[in-house]
Amino acid sequence: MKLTRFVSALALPLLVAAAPLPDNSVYQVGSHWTNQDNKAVEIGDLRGKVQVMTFVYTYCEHTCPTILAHLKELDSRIPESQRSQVNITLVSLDPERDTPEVLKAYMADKGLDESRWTMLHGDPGDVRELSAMFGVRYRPMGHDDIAHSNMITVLDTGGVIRYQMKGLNEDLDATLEAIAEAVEK
Amino acid sequence: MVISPALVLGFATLAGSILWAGPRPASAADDGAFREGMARVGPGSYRPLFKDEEGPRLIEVAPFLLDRYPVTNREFAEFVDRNPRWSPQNIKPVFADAGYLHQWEEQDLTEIADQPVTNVSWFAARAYCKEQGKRLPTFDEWELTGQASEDRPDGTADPAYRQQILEWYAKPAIMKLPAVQDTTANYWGVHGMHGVVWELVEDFNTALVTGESRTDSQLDNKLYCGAGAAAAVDPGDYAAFMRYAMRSSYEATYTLKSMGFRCAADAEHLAMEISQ
Repeated sequence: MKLTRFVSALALPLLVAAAPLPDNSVYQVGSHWTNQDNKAVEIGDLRGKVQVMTFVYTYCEHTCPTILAHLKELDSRIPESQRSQVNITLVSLDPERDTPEVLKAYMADKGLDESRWTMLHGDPGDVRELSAMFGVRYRPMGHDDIAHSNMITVLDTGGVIRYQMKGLNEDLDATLEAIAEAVEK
Repeated sequence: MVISPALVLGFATLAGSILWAGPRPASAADDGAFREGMARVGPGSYRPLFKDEEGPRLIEVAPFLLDRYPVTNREFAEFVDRNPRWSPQNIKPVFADAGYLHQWEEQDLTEIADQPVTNVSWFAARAYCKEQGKRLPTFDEWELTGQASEDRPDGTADPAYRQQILEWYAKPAIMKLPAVQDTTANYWGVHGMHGVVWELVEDFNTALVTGESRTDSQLDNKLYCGAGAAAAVDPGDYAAFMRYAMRSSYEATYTLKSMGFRCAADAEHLAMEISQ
């Protein structure tokens, strides 16, 4: 019985990947990215796991540290039984400065577990497109600041938006509930 | 049998009922028609509605190419014919809301062929421009072009020009849009920048207005409330307020009967063609 469950757990991501994308999946954009290891990532590669996604930039001194703190707290509160089915993805809003190497160093500096956290670097047009898909707004303000929406989004395994936490002062409970529901779906 | 809108329009053209210059080239390098359909705009500068923390700003805009006319229903129908995934029947809901190309169901396509296409989402407009080897204009490019009057690159100081634009905003939405070739050209030779439809820009979601974007609610306050007006360089520029408000409330899947688009390209395209 245990073996059956183990095999099913292994096969589930493959089955999800083989199924057609839901019509309302954000992965319909089909854009191509590079992760912190300089590996190519098609956005649809993220399917199969519940994704907790946000848009940041590494040299952000204003709200990004708070967003990251929220994500770390979320991560610590995800029940052990769900943890392997959830990934946290940070998309950089600054493709010019946030190269994959910079993203790698940032993750090391912040102690982000690469087995469960991902950072994405993309073409400026693809960043614009994906941010628009999430309803994220951003604008460079001078050389060292990018004003942007503070938003954490929960995607189900097919890439459908299940919940968005907008703003910095929201209770994390609702986001955790959305993650749990997406895992169980 | 399904008859595509492009086929319907093509038939009407053969019948001689519509003036049609033919389809646009698929890429910038195809022939000179690409250049003929576009105007060179800039270099120039414009003063955005909102100042930043250091005061009023002057945005420098490098030269670029811009379609002389908004994209028409005919042109978009041809695009859909070549790219069925962007048809009203096939488009995914993540790319457009339910009103996508609604006018094609309700109106005679031969009658609206030369009108600006509306009810098109940002994703669809972007896909159209990309297929043409172009892109959507940026916020700054559109504003630079839009400040030109018929005879000056910057007509914003001209009370008559400003009044002309305000009169459009004071009118209800146009029920019947004009054919694009019947719209007025500005200094750059670009037609119908005001008084016809709102137009999409590539970076519409930069409409944050100020740097005080520490929370989303603050962004909204800065844009819509008195605090926004206090930070404006020219609080009397009502038309600019309207455009900023439209862009800041717009989402990429929205389709509006008064929202269209035109495409832009880097000026490098021009240099490339001349060298060829």
